[in-house]
Order: sequence, then structure tokens, then C-alpha cells
Amino acid sequence: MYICNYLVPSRVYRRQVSTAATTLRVEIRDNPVYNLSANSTNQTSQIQNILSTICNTYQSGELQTTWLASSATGNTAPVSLGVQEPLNQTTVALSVIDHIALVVPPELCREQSPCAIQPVIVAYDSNGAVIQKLGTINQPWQIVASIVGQSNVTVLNPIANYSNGQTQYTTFGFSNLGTYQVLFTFIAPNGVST
Amino acid sequence: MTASTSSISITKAVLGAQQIDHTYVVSINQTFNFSGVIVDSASGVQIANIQWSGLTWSATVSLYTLPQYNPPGTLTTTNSSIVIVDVTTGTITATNLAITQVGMYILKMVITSSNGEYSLQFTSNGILVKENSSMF
Repeated sequence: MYICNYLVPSRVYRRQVSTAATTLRVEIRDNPVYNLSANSTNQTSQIQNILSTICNTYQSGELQTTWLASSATGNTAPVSLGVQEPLNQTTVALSVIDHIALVVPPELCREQSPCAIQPVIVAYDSNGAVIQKLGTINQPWQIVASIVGQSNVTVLNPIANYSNGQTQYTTFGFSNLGTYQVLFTFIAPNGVST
Repeated sequence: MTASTSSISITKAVLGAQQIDHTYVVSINQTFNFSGVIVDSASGVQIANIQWSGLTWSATVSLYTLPQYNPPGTLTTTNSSIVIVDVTTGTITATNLAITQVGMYILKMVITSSNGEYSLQFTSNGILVKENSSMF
């Protein structure tokens, strides 16, 4: 595996303090297999994990903090990040998460079955725009639901992926009768500490 | 980074039952099983844990009486005919049933909960009972 192709298309002028943006383009590639056979497939899992860590730390803001704190990066931090995933043809701009909101609360819930109205949680950036994508296609961020307080009731199918601008709950439900409050929170994504 | 709901009230389960593992053709007096699962009545989704709130289940099987032209056979059981309630898979199976004469029959299963609260019934697909011959 190696990194190639470092490009700096905008020129930096020595005579003035430049605040021009620099684009850093990084390609991560694997070596080709030594022997091609009928069973050869595209093994992308290592690259997927590296990519997942980069996306997750950027979208949580950790990458920018680490970058700024490093002595090697000259008091800079990335202001945007676009990603083209393995075996994919499009480049997608990633958003940095600011807050989440429960847009549709779960309703019409009977014990032991999916609530008729499934919960929907949406993540927003600091401009209040809906974030379409958190994480990579293979490893999207996930939300987990838990009961506040007592726990003689369990949540059925409490975990959902975040994709297409919201959580994708389909079979969220409760195991027993009663009245409860539910808390939704992100499962710490790959590479992110908080 | 969290989001929370206000209080949500969970109401009683509304249940139904449906057949699984269909048997379509048997011979006279050939034993077969008849199985069902308990589902949420509105969504049809199988109940995750049929023992929730300490419930236990039992079931009985009988021939369903048609309005007219009932075939002549009867449903028979032997000492090895039992109702198995598998709480892991949530399936209820009546085993080693047999029908005594040629015809098309429908079975009925009634599943009841230990507290008497639920009585769920469903009917089977049509079961064709044929002659006991190597020609068929």
C-alpha cells in the first residue's frame, strides 16, 4: 500500500502572507496481486478501514483539532474534505457534525412489535444543513437507542444506520407494556474517541 | 451528542397467528406436522419473544368444518402426537397427526396463553389426502 499523487495546484507567493487555500489530494492504493486467477477479487477491506478512520475523524471534528495541534502542519486545518470511495466513481463532500435532533418520535407502539411510526433522527452541520452521509458507504455511522432509567424493558432492534440524511429504523419497538423515555446516541465510529 | 424522546406509552400486544411449513399432500394415515407462529396482528411481524411477561402457550388442533361437502375422514393422533412449543424460535408444532380417509381437508389450530388473555386461531392450507399407493 502506498500514497501517491500529492498535488498543490494553487501557487504560494513568498512575498506576501498568503491565505490561499491549498488542495491536498491523496490517493491510497494497494499493490496489484502477483498472480491473477479466476478467483481474484478486489480486496478493499484494508483501504476501507483507513478511509473510514479519515472520514470519521473529519466528520466528528477530531481530525481538524489534531491537525491544528500538530507542529508539522503550520497552524492549518482542513476546511473541507471530499472523498471518492474504493470501486466508486463519484466524489462526495463530507460535512462536519454539529448536533442531532429527533425529527419523528416513535409512536403507536405495541409491546413485542415494531412501532407503527418509526423514529427518525437527523444530523446537522453548524450551518443547520442536513448531513446526508456520516462515515463511509460500507461503515456508516450508527445510532443506538436505550431506555432512560429502569431496564425491565428492552428496545427491540435498537440500532440503525445513518444514510440518505437520516437514521433508517424499520423494526424499532419495545418488549413490554409501560411508559418510557428513549435516548438516542451515536455508537462511537471507527477511529473516533468520543 | 444525543437526542431523547418525551414519554412513550407502549400498549398491549395485539396478536395473530399464521401457519408455517405447509404440508400439501399426504397419504391416508400418513403422519405429518402442523406448525404455526405468533405474529403482531397489524404488521404480521413474528413476535420476538413469546415468553415475554412470563406467558406460556398451549395449542389444540382439530379439523375445520366446511359449510358443505365435508370429506368423510377424521383427524387422528397417537401416543407420539404432542404439541411442541419452541420458545427459542417462537413456533408451535402439533406432531404426528394423520387423517383417515381420502379427501381435501383444512385443519384449525387454536393457540391460547396461560393467563387466558390470548386465544389465537388460524386455519391451514388445503391438505390433500390420497390413497396409500405407490402409483401416486
